[in-house]
Amino acid sequence: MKVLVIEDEKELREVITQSLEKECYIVEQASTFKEGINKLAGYDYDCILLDIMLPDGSGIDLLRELKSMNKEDSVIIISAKDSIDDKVLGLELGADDYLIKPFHLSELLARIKSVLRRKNQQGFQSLKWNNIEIFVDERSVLVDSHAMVLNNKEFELLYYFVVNANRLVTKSSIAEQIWGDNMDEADSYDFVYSQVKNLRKKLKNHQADVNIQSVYGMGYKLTNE
Amino acid sequence: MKLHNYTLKYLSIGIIVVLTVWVIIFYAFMTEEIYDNIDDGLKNTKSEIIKKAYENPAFIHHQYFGTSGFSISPLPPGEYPRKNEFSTEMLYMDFDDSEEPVRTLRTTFEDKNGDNFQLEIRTSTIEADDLLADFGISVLVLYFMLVISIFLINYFVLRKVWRSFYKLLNNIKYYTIGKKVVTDETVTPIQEFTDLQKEVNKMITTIEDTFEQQKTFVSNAAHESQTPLAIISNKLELLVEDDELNENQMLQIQSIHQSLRRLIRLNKSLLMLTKIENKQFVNFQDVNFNQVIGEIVEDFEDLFSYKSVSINIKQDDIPFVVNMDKGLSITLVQNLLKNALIHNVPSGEIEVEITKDYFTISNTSAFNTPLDENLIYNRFFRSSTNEQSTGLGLALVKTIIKVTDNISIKYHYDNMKHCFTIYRTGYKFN
Repeated sequence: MKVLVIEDEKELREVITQSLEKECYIVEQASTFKEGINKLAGYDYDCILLDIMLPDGSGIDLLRELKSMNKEDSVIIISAKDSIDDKVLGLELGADDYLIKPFHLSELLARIKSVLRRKNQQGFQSLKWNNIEIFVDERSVLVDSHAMVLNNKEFELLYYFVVNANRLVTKSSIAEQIWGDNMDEADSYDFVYSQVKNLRKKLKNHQADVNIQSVYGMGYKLTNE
Repeated sequence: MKLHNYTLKYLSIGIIVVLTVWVIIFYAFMTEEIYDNIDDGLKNTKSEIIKKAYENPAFIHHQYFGTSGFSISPLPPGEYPRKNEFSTEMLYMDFDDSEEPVRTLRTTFEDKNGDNFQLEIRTSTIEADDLLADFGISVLVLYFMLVISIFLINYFVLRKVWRSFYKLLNNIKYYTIGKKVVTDETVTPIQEFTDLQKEVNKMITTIEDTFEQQKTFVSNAAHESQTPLAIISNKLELLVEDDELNENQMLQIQSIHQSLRRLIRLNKSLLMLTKIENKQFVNFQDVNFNQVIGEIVEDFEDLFSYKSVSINIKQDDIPFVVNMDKGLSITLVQNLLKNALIHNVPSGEIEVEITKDYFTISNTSAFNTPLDENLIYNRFFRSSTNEQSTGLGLALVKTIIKVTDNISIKYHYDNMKHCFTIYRTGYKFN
């Protein structure tokens, strides 16, 4: 998988790159509009992370260029601007997703994987982890080919863990990802804990070959049993 | 009290005092002058009578207040002062069956033979009480005429003069900061008002500029901090994935991360506030609040059950529909519900009542006294040291209300519950 990160802020660009490299993606970087357009013209990428505000131009224009080249690269806009107009415009121009800074790395990863999944499999694909199989579009889960009934939130939680498998997922990121902005209060962490406990119990009952390991109260990590 | 009524009040009191003093002085002068005249006449009559009596002794004997209005009476021999004594007496008068004032001159004289006589001359004089009454009436008439004319002059002339002032005042009254309603130019020939207007406009411009700068500053500060915040947050996330870390370091990082998330939330709310103030939400449509509330309550359901807070929605058949930005309506309800939840107590209650003209969200709380409505909407106001609260939730609510003319908010404390009511602007509660 090849990913291009177009972001003028060096530190942010690097932290994203490092995180993605852990997933064994091939990551390339561009810091300006010009650099970005050169890379886009020369190579194909599976996914492009695109900042809107670049020092020498707008990411939106870059997106237009990309589409005029008839390229199929998936684009996720990452912007500090939480503006509905920008979002609508970006998505209309063919961006696949829109992420507002600051975001969690685990959320970015989930978005990238979701975009890639949609692109490669025309939206139909199951996600596998040991003996667990998640059908994202049907929102159903099989453990050893037996259906496991999860409620909405539990499903989201499991999906989020599987997408970020073997990586630490912070509690705040879980809270935001699954319960949205409403759940950003401090005691949400206890709430996350109780939800994870339920999920663990269900996974255990179905003999799922998985371990949701808690990491010093910071968050959780999905690992092999 | 309006300015022209105020001046009228003092003018009418002032005028009555001045006129009273004036009438007293005028009366004194008038009577003085009249008596002087009468006394001169009496003195003249006296000298004529004495002259006559001197020439014609018979004249002395038959006079006692006949038709002539004087009397002569003999006095025993002796020395008498030849002084004129004037007095005013009341005498019964046949012609109008009442006592009338009479001016009397009393003096003595000596005839040819050296006999002394007393001479009294009377003449009818002014009726002082009548005169005073007449004066009083005419002054009273004058007084009312003055007051009425002053009132009318005030009313028509001053009103016209002050009209531009009142217009300016009205403009200031309806001025709200950030709305940029600079006072209309009101043409007035009066220098002071023109100056006042100029100064007020200058002040408003300064205020607007400062306000604008502050807004831009907050917005820029919030915006510019997004990227560094993202970097810190993401670096921390990357750091915790490091397997080399021990538990203690991990806990430290967690604590940093938690504070950082709080800062990020705060920043987000500030950005939201600025965006609302800058009127970046103009997607007006008919919003059905019953629907919005229903959806958000559903989103919050896990949270309610987790905090064991029960929620109860009462609604009419006719929904509460308001024309406003849909996104803002959602933010509004979210923040009100969040507020009701954060400040609630375990196994507390939240009640939502929706009618066609308003909805009320009321909640039980550990804080069992009414809140100060002047403070609760302030940014970073906290009734308690609640760590969960950013202190911006109700500020957001208030700002949304401020930019949405169609709805208003009121707070009241009722039955141990804090109640926030959003109602159609202009709706009258019973």
